[in-house]
Order: sequence, then C-alpha cells, then structure tokens
Amino acid sequence: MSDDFTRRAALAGALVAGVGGLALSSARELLESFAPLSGDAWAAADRTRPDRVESPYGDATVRYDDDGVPTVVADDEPAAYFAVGYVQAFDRLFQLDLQRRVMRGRLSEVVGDVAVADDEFHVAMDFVGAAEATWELVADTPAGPLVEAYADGVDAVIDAGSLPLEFELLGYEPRPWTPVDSMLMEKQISWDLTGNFAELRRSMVADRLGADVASELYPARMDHETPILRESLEAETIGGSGSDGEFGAPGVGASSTVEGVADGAVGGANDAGLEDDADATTAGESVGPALLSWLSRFESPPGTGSNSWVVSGGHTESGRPIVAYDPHLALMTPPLWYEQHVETPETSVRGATFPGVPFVIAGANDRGTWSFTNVGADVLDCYRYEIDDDGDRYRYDGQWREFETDEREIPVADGEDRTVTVRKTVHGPLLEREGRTVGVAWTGHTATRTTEAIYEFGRSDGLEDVLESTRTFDLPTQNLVYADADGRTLYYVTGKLPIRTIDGEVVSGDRIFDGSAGEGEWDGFTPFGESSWEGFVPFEEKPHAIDPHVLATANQRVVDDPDHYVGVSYATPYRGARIYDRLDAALEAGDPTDLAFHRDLQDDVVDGRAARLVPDLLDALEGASDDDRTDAAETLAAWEYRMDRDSRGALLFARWLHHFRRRVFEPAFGDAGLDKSYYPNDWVVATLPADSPFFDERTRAEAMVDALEDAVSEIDAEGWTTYGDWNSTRSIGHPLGVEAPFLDYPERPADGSRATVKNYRVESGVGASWRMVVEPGGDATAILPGGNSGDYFSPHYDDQLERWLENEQKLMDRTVEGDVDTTVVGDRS
Amino acid sequence: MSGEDERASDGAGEADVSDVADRDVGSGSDPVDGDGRASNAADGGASSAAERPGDSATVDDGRGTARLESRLAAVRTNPRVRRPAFALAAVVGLGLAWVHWLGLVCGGALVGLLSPSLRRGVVAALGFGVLVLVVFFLRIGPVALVIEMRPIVFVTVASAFALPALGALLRGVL
Repeated sequence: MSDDFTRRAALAGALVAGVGGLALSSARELLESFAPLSGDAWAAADRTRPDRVESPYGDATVRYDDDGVPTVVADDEPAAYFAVGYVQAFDRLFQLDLQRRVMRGRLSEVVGDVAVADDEFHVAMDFVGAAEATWELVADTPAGPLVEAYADGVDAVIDAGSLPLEFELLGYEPRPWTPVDSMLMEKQISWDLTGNFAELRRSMVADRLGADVASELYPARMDHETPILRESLEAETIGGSGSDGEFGAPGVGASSTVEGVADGAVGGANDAGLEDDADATTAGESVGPALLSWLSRFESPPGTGSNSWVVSGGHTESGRPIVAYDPHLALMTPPLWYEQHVETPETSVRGATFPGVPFVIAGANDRGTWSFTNVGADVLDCYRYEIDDDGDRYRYDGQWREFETDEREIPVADGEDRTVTVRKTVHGPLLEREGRTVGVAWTGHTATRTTEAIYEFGRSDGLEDVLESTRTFDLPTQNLVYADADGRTLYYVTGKLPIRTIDGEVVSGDRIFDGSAGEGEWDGFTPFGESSWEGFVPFEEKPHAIDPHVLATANQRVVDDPDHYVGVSYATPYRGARIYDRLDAALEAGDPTDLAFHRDLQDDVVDGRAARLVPDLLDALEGASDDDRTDAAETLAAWEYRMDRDSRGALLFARWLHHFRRRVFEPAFGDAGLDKSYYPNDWVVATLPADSPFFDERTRAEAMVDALEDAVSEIDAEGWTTYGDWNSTRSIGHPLGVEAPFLDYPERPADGSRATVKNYRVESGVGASWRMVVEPGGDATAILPGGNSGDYFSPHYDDQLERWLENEQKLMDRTVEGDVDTTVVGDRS
Repeated sequence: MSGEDERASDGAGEADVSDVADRDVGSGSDPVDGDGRASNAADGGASSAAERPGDSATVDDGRGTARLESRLAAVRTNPRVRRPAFALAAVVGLGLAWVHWLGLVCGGALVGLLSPSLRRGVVAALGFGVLVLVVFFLRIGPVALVIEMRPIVFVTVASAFALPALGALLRGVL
C-alpha cells in the first residue's frame, strides 16, 4: 500500500468522520439553528410585516408610527381586535407564550427541570381553573366575541410560521392561542399585584422573635400623614358635597363616608395577628419555613407599586385636568406593557396593555383618561386545617370532607415528567411543601368581570360611564384615577374587598385562619365558580373621591380611618409625600401646571429616606478623624438627597443604607433563621428609635458609622465612583438573557431609588414600566422602558430605552396618519 | 500564465509547512511525483497523471475517476477555465449552503477540488467562508445586531470557516 494511498485514505477518513461526527452529534442541532444562510434562527431576522393578512372578521388597516406603535382602524370591533391580536403576536409572540406557560405550569416543558418548582406552584394554584371560570362568564358579554377575534389574530401569526428568535433558541413552536389564555393574563397581572403571603411572614417573625418585635417591625399602620385621601384635602376637594351616593355630583368621598373604623379593623388586625392571638402565633410555625420560602418566590415582586395623580382643570394651563401615571412593575426585555391605538366607530383609544390582553388597560380615549395603581389591599387569606393522617380529608363544619383532587401532569424537557395532585377545599387551593400545608383563598380564584370593565373603559363617554363600568371591575384591587374632557375627576378603589368574620365579628385578614373552624370565610365567594358581591365591601362603601382637585396615589395607605378593613401591605410614604408636597407647592403658588410640569414631577429623584437618615449619620460622624470617614461625611453633607446617576452622595447613601439595615437586623434575624427577606421596610429602619432592642449591643450611632465604613470599603473594592455605576439597568433582563445575553437591553446608569418618585429598584428589577401624562381630550405623552417590539431584529426593540431613562416622553396621540403598513382583508363575503 | 505558475510554485515551496500540503501539491496532477514539481503538472501533467500506469489510485479508481481527475487537473492548471469554474463552484456552494449546513462542506469541497493543491484548497475554502459570511450579513441586514449575538454568532462564524475547510480535504483525496 503506497504512502499516497494511505494519505488519501486518511484524508477521506477525516472528511467522513468530520461530517459524520457533526451530523450525528449535538453539533447538528447547533448548525441547523445557527449555520450561516441555512440556520433556522436566521429566519427570525427575515420577519417582515406582511402587506396583507386575511381575516374572517372583516377589513382593517394597520399603521405603525415612528416608535413602532400600531394604529388599527376598522369599521367594526371584531375586525379591529383580530388585527390587534395579529400585531401583538407579531411583536410579542414569545412573551405571550411564555406568560401563559408560567401561569399554566408548562414552563418546564420547554426549559427543563429548572422550572419544575415554579410549575408545581402554578399548577397547584390552578390559575387555569380560575381563567376557565372567568372565560365562561366573559364569553357571554360584549367583550367575549372580541376576545375570540383577538385569539384568532394571534393564531394567524402562529399559523404563518414566522416565529421570533426565542422559539428557535428553545426549539419549540407555540400552540394556538385561546380566549382562556387571555383570561390567564388577567390572572397573572392580578396575582403579581395582590398575591401576598405577608401574614405568613409576620407570623413567622412573631414565632421566632416574639410578638413585640413583630409588632415593632411590621406595624399595621405606618405613622405618617399622607394617605391617598387626606383629611386636609377633604374639605378643600372632596368634602362638603352632601350628596352621598350621588355619583354625578361632586364631593362624594371615602373620607366623608368613613367613620373611624380603623381602630376596630386595622388595629384589631395588629392585635389579633401578632400579639394576642396565640393560635395565630403558632400558625406561622405550623406552615413552616420550607413552605413559606417556596411560596415567597411567587409573591408580588418586591417594590411592585405605582404612582398616579390628577389635578383638576382649575390648576392647569389648559383648564383641563391632567393625569400622570407610572406603574412600577417588573422591568424586563421586552417591556411588560405594549402600546396600541385602536380606531373604530365606537371609540378612539390609545394606551398600554399587557400582551395577551386585547383592550387598552391604561390609556386614553377621546373623552377621558384612566390609570391604575396598586392598593395594597388584603385579598388573599391563608387557612390551616385539621387534616387526617392519610391526607385525604380535612375537618370542616364539624365533619370530615374529602379534598377535591385532580391529577395534573407537568411535562419536563429532557427530564422526568412530574405529576401534581391539585387539592382544593371549600376556600380554594391547598398548597403543600415538605408535609406542611396552607389553604389559600384569593379573589382571583373565581370568575371575574374585569375584562368586560376594561373593554367598557375604552368605549366610555365620561366619568359617569366609567363609574358604572368600575362596578364590574372586580379584580384586582387598584386605585383608579380618572379624568374626563369635561373636567371631571375621579378616584375609586376597584376590586373586591373581602369581609371576614369570626363568630360573627368582623376581623381583619392579616392572620392565618382556622379553616376547619370556618374562620374568616368570604360569603358569596365560590372558588373556581361564579361569585357574588355578598360578603365583600359594597361598591358604594369602598374608598373613593369624586371630583377631587388634587389627588395622588403611590401605594400608600388609602385613608386613615376606613369604614372597612382594606389591608396593611402599604408602601412606605416617601413617594406619596413627595408628590403631594410638590403638587401642594405648585397649587399654593397659584402656578397653573402643564404636561411638562407633571413629567418633571415623574422625574423627581429626591429621596425622603435620606432626608430622615443622613442628618443623623452626619451627627454620628462628627469629629471623625479617619480620612475615609471625613471624605464620606463631606460628600454626604454637600449632597441634596437626589438619587442622580452621576452623584457620589447617592452612591454612598444607597450602599450605606444597605449595610446599616444589615448591621441592625442580621444578628437577631440570622440567629432566628430568618433571612433578609424578613427585614422590615425602609420606613421602619429609618424610624427605629435609638432605644430599640436592636441597638442594645451597638448604639444606633455606632451602627451608622460602622455601616458607612462597610459602604466605603465596598465602593472602593467594586471600583464604583457614582450612583449609576451600581444603580444600572443591568437587572432589566430578558427571560433567556443568561443563555443569550445579547437579548438583554444594553446596560446604562439609571436615576432613582425605591423611595423616589422616579422609581427604580436595581435589586429587584422593578420600576416605571410605563409613563404617561394625559390631558383628557387634549395632548398626551408616554414612554416605555425599552421598545414596543419584542423582536430582537426590530428597530423598535430598544429604541425607547434612552428616552425612558431621561423621561423624554413621545406623543401618544390618536391621529391616523401615514401609509398603511398591513391591510387586513376580510373574507366574510 | 505566470500568475498560475507562481501560485503553483508557491504551493510547492511550502513543503516545510506541512507534509500533507507538501506532498499534495502534485497529488491531483502527479500523485507519484509529489516532491514539489508542480510545474510539471502545470506544463502538461494532466494527461500523464491520468495515464500513469504505476499510479495505484488511478488504477483502483478505474476510468471514471481517472477521467474526473484528468478534467480536474485540466481545470486546475488552466486559469482561464479555473477562474469561472471557481466562481461557479462558489455560487453552487452558496446555493447549497443556503438550504443546509452540509452545503458549506460541499462548497468547500468544490472550491477545494479546483485548487492546485490541498493547502491552496483549504485557503480557497476559507475564502469561500468569507464569501458566505459576506452574503449572510448582507442578507441579515443589521450586522451589528448579529455580531452582538454572542455566543450564537461564534457558531455561525466558526462554521462558515470550519465546514468549508473540512470539505476542502476532499482535495487531498481527488
């Protein structure tokens, strides 16, 4: 055999082995996806909006503006909402699919084992069951056919097969969209806003650290004077109408209808939940840290909240009211919200919605503008039961009852599928972890009519219409702020507020109820069925204000003395106080405000925590001889409490507060096996008195100085120079950002903190998920934290990010201009 | 003609770099005389290579292979033919690469087969990879966006070069 033959054979062998190796190994999948020219992933780069789409619902047109916001025009609503489904799916299909997978407990099916715990929770909570019940109710309303048209519009994109890049990265194709999926989106956002197991945490702290400590660290009522409905404003703005219950007349307000029930409700909650109720104290431990830790993963993200305010036309240049709104929700890539504009003979509506929801949720039509912030209401109750040894039955109403059970499969990609047994009691789902159980009743676990209400908001013709529609807005509990083109203004708490009783006495909900004894039940509530308002606070008795001249919501306490228990999970008052301070100052100065004033207020970065704490810190540092301390003290002394991205003082303060909190609470909490998620809020930290037991071993001043040394050391070690070096947009991630970091938005330094009006929480990736300022019937501006498209290759993927950082809002007008980008052709004929 | 001769000579002169490349210089045209006398092939070795009775590979492969090698040799040695053949091979390779990643291997094989040596075949395959990437980026549009797609883009760029280079090994066989 010649050398040449051997050489040829070797080369041939290498060639065959190379090709065979590639074809038969996992490299083949990579090449099929990402090889140049033929890679399937590159089809995503070729996605172009079609010139023409066929629709079974009639003709429509779609125009995109310079920011990628679609304007849908149609002669009837089904045709319009088919097109809305189409544009939402084209721009956000992966987001749609991912969200429903999360809520259905089908995430593991595409991402594998890592999501099993998440899926187990969502399956056990049976959000799908609640969405199905909701669809049964909504299907027969005027909104029902439009939801179906929307779903068909989404499916038109799926059927066309032109899928976004993420589907190729994960290697799957979406299933058809259904109306139930849209209802699931309502459940998801409602859960994100109101899903709260705070009473379990409070009980755990009481068990581990004592009821007194829990009472000090988790006050049922923070001692501040800026609720949403202020006494000082009552007389000026909502008091004295004397027209109780007459919505058309000015002046019917919660404050005027409230008669000092707080002592019996909120105060009682504190007593019963944390101090005197021995059963409640042991209840936290009965749930157990494993179950609580698991549940905490699925609660509202820390910092979820929002700002909104309204000033009447008497305080604006144009003479029309102005509403400003920025919801603080999870910041992500692409944004949580999608902006759309729909023109039909019935309405002209533009604003933001969640992908998967057909109708504008927060926005404006030709007659008014509306917005929602979170109330912080307690709409989730926890129950413990006497359960038999086999775990098949629970004690209730003096008898043993079988759990309602259902076996559900959780498919797992590249792993073993799981089976979850969904168990339900008369109150709702029963959740279990490591042998510990807790029953859950949540107002979202029933058929709800919010979809109908939102649809009606878009078609409303002024305040009276909106008030009527608000009656059907039963989920979630929100601070509705509205103004119309006639100059009317409105504040109303939406959603159902449960009324609980024990032995016939009304009690608050921040405790763990004995479900076997029938404690704290909600009359009229049918989990996974259709409920009534019986057993909930009547609409007229919910906090509200008609025609307030100025009103601001920032998730703070709604009212000092509510008629009915609302909740205890309110935000710290810093944002609310700052907004009211600036609005009051403008009004007192007699300067009429305009849109620019309100945008500037949205951009406010003054931190009330610093105003409270920094003087004390500087006192503690007085006489410091150490260079680092002296430099830090000088920097903080010259700082004006503004959380600007280029501020050194803001950096020092933010990191100092982190270390101060840790130094104060870590020793006791650590010994008790409680991690930092149990630490109290900033208001408690800032107001914790020097004689608190937490300062027994180290005085408050010493803790402050030590924390500053920690902060300076950390800043030096990390190489940070200004606040933006730490407070960046790095936490605004894409769900696949770990594996495909290019999908994340570019990292930029950011302003704001969790306590500033311009809200940004770098630790949790929460902040202003949408900003808008609207003069009903007039001008409007808005901005998204990123872009309107979720398509990585779209120019509108991140084209609003820089403007969002600067709060440079774009126009949110309702004109129909420009060439038609896509013609939706009806084939009904 | 001088350019072609220079390229052939260049290939022959690289014997110190790679034994395979060295011997291969004449492999397509003169498998026995693989010591760098590529100029012989360029001068008319095409027919002699096909007809050389002592060439075991030629004998084993039969007349078909012999004719193929003969034609390839003719193309390799005639720049007026080879250049358009190169262009055609690149276009065909692009077309194949457009429908399947194995097309990148085929494209590299095609341009490699038209090259005077294995070494030059690999170089030509790498050039084909550059062409693929240029066409790819032109097709995709936002080049910066694709370049940022790390680590995905590493697969894309690596396969654009590695697969054609793999295909070019065929030049050492034929």
